[in-house]
Amino acid sequence: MNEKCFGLGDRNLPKCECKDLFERFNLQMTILLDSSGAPRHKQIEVQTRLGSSIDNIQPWHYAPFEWNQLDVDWSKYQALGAVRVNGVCPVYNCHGLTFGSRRTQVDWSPATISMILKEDGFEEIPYREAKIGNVVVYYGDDGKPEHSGVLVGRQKDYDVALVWSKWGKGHEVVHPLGACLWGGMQTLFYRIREWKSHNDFMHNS
Amino acid sequence: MEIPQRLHAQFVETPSVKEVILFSNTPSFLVNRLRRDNAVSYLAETLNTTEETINFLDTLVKPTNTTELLWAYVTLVSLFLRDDIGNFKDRIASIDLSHIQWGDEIRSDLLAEITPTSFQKVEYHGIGIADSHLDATNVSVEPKKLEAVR
Repeated sequence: MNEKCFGLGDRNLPKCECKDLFERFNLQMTILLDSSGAPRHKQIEVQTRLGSSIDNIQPWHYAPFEWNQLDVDWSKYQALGAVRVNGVCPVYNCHGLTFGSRRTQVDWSPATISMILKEDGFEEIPYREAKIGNVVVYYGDDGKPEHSGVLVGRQKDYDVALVWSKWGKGHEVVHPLGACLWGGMQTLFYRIREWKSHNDFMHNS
Repeated sequence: MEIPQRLHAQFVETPSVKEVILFSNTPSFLVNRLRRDNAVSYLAETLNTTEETINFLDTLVKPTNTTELLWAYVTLVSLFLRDDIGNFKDRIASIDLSHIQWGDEIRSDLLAEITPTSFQKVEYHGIGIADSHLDATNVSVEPKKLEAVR
């Protein structure tokens, strides 16, 4: 340690450790940040009940303040009965909420969603039979899953399903089934089938 | 990011564009919604040429904030409205879009659209014009409708 260094790290004074410290710090920053200085995206291990890996990504770009710059006029959704339940967060998406416990953005491809539904033991059920805790997936015209959420109740007056879902990088929202950006799409409902073991599941599927 | 002077930010940074970028769960949803948005049409009309649009996109590939990200998406999707991007295929393929989430997927969709998807010879026997032919690029032809013509 050399007190004349003042922690600047670039003087190379005798017994000064600052330069080493700065080099180690820079190395760590290279691991944490990409070439543009933004935090690197990460991938975590998420598996289905049967052990298949689920493709995912945790995007860390931009601070919450930045994402809030994209905040939108919420009144049109509010008028339809939608309620925001938290702030924006880019780290997880709708499928990350529905199938990944808010940990990450779960891959949106049809292959991944269909694998999760199959290997986690979901079965499709009619809309009328859907209950709290069941899952809804919104499918686009091309059959691709565009959105998903969890049923949390039904509207008292109209018996319309209330869905709890994550809107992209934005908010978690509790909303009537059709009161969202994906409102015009086909919706299918799923519930976890009861099964006791891996073998039972494989036998019954 | 340096915005060309004739582009007015208020016509691009609109609430509907912000909504799509914040709430989209998939690249296909983002593209489908943005390409119908006035902001994208405005940018496509204001930037005169495809080359100018690509040059502008080049300045946006490392967005440092969400406003720049918004411009990057709008500019990228505006290329879907160009009818001469086939001439810029290599240039578009060489742009580094790794700092824009879904950038590579959107580019793949864009380049897929400029690939000719059908070539159909149609004979109009019913109205007495034979051996006319139609060169079709970038369109899909529904077999049932063709049957009706025959």
